[in-house]
Amino acid sequence: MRFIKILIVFILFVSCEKVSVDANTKIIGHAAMGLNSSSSIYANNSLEAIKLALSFSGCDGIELDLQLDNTGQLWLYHDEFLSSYTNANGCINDMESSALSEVFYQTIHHEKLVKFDLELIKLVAGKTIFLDLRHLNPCTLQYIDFQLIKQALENLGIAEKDNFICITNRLELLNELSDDFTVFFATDVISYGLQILTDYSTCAGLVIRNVSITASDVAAIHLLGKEVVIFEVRSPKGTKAAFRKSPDYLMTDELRTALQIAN
Amino acid sequence: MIRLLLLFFLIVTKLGVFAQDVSPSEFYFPRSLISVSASLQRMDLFTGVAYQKNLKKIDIGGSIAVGSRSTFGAQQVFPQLGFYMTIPYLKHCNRKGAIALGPMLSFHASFFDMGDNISQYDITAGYSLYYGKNKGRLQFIHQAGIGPFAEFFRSESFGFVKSYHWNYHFKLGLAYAIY
Repeated sequence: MRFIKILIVFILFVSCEKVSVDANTKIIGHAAMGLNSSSSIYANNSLEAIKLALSFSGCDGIELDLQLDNTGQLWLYHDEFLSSYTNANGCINDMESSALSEVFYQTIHHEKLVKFDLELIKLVAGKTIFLDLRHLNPCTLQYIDFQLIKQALENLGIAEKDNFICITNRLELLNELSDDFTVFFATDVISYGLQILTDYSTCAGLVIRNVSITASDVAAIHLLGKEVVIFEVRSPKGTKAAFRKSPDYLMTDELRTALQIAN
Repeated sequence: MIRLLLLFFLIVTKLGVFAQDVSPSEFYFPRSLISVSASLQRMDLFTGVAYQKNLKKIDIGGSIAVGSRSTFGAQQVFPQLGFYMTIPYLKHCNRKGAIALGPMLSFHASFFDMGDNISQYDITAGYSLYYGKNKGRLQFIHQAGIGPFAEFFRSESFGFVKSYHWNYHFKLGLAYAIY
């Protein structure tokens, strides 16, 4: 009986510690429902995962990984090689759209590889969508001509471009992309990131790991009039720590945990 | 995984051999148990209590648990109600202790709020194992299973959302025989 009393007191004690979440922090699902998350149910970047993530009322948006095929179409895929998670081999950059449309994830649901097209853009309308543009062909280790990626995005004729934010880690693309989209720079080094934000007026924000940034760094970025995305957030402890830094966006690998904490 | 399965079947085979020598009068299994346990599942690590009653050849039990990650980590209570049936098919006892192993069927219903009220249900099939001193009150319990999982909620933008997957559970705990 004493044990049960102690247990109840312990539960009440730990349950009372509620983190205050900045209402301005938007919750973004990394690759839709998160990477390597058992609670995500569906494969990352799949249509099913996108629909599920956007179904949650507290989810403000998602991050998608875009790769260009050799016929000028953009596809959603996070990893370098198709063989890691799908029934195909090779790299997206070397394959044709017709072949990629037959590719599916080797999961229980066999989710199909998703093409970034107008139908998908319509589905995600009204939400914040981060586009991680992959411009290195992992099979050849050569950079893809960025004009081709830009052309592929232009061909889509995205109407509400304000909802789309491009992520890049290449400085030369900051100005290139900023004509059409809001652009964020991705880095692991906060001092370098701050320097980029100061030097490049076209760079609207920073994408950085939770462990690489402090609350005072976030405040310093806000003073520059720029925004911050914190990513690599998974555990409840890490998610609460990230929320306490008051970033503009929290890109989480455990969407359910972030939404539970924010709710 | 294959190693685990092999180990499991080795144990089952071993128990099966011993079971032939067991006289029902030698084996004592508590008629009623309460237990505390932790169960690792797809959505969370559930910790809770259960009550189990022996009805001749089958045991039935009910459990109540909370998802630790959600409840203690994210401060959103994630309750789970469970119901299970086991058949302690293979029994063995000696001076050191008694062991009972058998198939198990369980049903779980979980509910939580993260802006939307989400409900999750699963049915799992697996095995259940009890180990303790013969005629002793304290028992070590272990259950594991796998089965279909369904999640439902009403979304503002997508209407009624339902998703299906597989759930697993791996439960370890301690039970106390009431009588």
